[in-house]
Amino acid sequence: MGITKVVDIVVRIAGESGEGIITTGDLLTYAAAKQGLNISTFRTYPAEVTGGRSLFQVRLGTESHLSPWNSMDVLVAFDEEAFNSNIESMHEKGLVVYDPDLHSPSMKRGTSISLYGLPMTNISKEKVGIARTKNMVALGATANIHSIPYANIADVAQKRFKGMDKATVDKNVEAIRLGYEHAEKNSQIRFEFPKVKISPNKIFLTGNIAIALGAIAAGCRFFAGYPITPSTTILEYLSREFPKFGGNMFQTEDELAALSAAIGASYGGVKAMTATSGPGFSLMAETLDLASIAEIPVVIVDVQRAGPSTGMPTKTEQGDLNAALYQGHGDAPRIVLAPANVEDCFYLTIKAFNLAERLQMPAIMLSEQQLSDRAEMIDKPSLSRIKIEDRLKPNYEDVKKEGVYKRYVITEDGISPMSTPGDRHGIYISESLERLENATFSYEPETHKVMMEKRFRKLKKAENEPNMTRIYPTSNKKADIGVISWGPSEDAVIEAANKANKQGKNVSSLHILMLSPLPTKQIKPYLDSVDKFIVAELNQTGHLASLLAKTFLLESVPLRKTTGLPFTANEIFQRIMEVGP
Amino acid sequence: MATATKQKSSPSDYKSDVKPVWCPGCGDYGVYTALTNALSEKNYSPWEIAVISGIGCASRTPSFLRVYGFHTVHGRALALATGLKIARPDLHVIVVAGDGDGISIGGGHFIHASRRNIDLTYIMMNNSIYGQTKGQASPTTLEDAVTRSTPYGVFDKPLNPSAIAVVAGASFVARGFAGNPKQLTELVAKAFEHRGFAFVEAVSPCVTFNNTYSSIKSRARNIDESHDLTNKIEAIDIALKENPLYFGVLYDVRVPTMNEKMSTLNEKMKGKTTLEELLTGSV
Repeated sequence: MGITKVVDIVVRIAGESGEGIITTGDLLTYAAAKQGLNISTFRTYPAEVTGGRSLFQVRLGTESHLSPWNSMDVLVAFDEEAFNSNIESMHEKGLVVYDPDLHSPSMKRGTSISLYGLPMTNISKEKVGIARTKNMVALGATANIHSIPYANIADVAQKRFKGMDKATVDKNVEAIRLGYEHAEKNSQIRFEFPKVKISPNKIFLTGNIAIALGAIAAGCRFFAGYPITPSTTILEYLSREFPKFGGNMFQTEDELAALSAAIGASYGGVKAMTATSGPGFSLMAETLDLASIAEIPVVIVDVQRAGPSTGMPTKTEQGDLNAALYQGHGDAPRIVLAPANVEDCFYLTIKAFNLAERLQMPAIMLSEQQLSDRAEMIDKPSLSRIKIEDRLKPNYEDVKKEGVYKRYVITEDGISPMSTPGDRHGIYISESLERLENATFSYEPETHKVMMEKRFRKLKKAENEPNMTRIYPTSNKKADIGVISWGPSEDAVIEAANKANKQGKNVSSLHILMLSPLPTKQIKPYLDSVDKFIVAELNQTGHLASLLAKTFLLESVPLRKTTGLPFTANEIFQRIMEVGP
Repeated sequence: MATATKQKSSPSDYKSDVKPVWCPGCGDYGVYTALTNALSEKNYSPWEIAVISGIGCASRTPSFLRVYGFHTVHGRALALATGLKIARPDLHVIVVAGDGDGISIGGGHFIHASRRNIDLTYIMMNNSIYGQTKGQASPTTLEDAVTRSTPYGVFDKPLNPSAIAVVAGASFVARGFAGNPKQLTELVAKAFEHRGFAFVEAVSPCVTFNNTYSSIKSRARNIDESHDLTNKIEAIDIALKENPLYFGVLYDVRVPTMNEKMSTLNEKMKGKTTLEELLTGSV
């Protein structure tokens, strides 16, 4: 039995949807995380409720910030189809766990991939007596292969099954034990990580939940939303937790109502949010415009998925940047932020609320399917260090002196004090029409010009917001190649750049977190520091590349992927090698 | 909140300096009168009132009022107002819209606001035409009517907003007439008093594009005192009748409102967790 010492391993579990693959992956991940390992998960499941293929992948490692994967080291194939569709992505020295009662894997000649036959169907049916515990048999064996102590995996499983009847729990735990023992006796390979210091200050969190928690931390106390994959977990989480904080949420009849209701709540002085995905975001175009012209703070989370239209609901893509930047007829300023990882999901949501309040306009958070249920270990946020911003309120002494409250008074920075219904001297009718300073509708030419400029002038109050880019420079003054990304591709870019630099290249990278207003003062010096730059994005027409081209009048080298899957570090690395000197 | 020393308001206290833009003789003036009379009757403080509207002639109303409010986008007033009332149950929230805004593009929200029993008043000014855009058919325009968009006659059957409100679960439904502002004032005041979703269909003829004043006057009849206000089927039956055309309160029941349910839930769940606790994170 060979022990292979590793610091970084990718495990993929695949099979028919409904066989409990996600549960297996979740529990394996959590047990590994509890041991102090860093994790990055990726999962894909079919759009339909039953049937179709399911896949859970976790990268375990000692490095922080792991990108999804390059190739798999361990494949746990629940059936023949899982083996056939995934074997090509295996690392040449990997291990395949398969069910010998279902198929005999045929391997290419000369391969050094190891095979381990785990009769999981048979064990669950015959020895445990419940066929559905097949995934627990697989879990036990996989845990053993990764040197996770049995007690840890059993403990994690017990906690997950809390609430189920004792007999069922016992059967599941027995299945884990049998799988564990089978692997102990029969697997030729075992992976062992170095002992990692368990940081007490790390918490296990997924992208969507981090967004929900960020909203609560930011003071959001109103949520309205409509179920849509992959944003639904935000709605469901807040439906459970909001009442405990005095917040109110409800499921609306559609996305048009969702954003409308959030705008109504915010007009009433309560910080409000909605969450959706591409198709729902398209429906929100008109109401987004309304929030913009009426100058109402509101946060819209768009967890992007492959489009256009219904597209591929459970696959990832970065196709909504153009929509986020430009959708809605007319010129309507808005804020656009895009998290790269689970930690960003928490902090950038707070930033979204703060900027929405400061600028009195809608803020869009562009997350992504791959990040929505990605689990990571992040540093536990220190709540006392979080700064909250509130909208500028009127000084009613001044208002009384003036004799009239001017909701849309022209100011140097474009921001006008915003009253709250209930304020005795702040009465005004918020308007979707163009209006005078006192909010009365107006169609005068000069009024429209002045008000349009005012609304756009507000963006200046955020364009120099600190830490809206992350730069990974080379040790040289100038880099030959730069790689620019947005969204969850950051880790893959960093890994690719590091790999290229180790091979003698001179590559730096820039990651952008705020797309509107674009932090040009942070980006321009970076562009000056590279000879040419690649823009890596998961869409067809290069949304970020176009934005950079029109802003800086610079052409980039495109790297676009539209398979519904995240970038691998290798894909980016290959492009760098193609492009560079 | 009203106090013992609160001054009695007059209808003009709720009117802004902006002159209404409606055509002379427009039914909306009658509704405007009834609305401001009812507000005065209830003696609400202007700063505690929010009037939300969509798009159309009726939806211009907030600008002519000295209250908080929002002139929003076509069809979405109810949804926005629902969000506002949930966030601010202390405010008097009133939604005003026309039949196009309310039951064409806004149809979905109308049904759901009714079933939610959100505690607000919804006044739908029904003129069975699209006035703002100069004369196209609306969902309540009669079958075979010739309009700007139906020169060969409307093909579809007209919708009945009051009947739909009852079926969808509204807990207070009334029909009034701009040509009878006294009765309409009473109905609007009752709607304000009602706890729950109070729908008032204010038949409000458009003198310019669909002048039905005499037709309505000739068919108008008050709902009989004997009508059981808690009987849904009876209410629908009365609402569906075209001739006579019935005015008055159709349906009135007291059931828990969306706000009451939310506030009960929040009371029960208050403090059951903290952000610190949620940030421990587990599978």
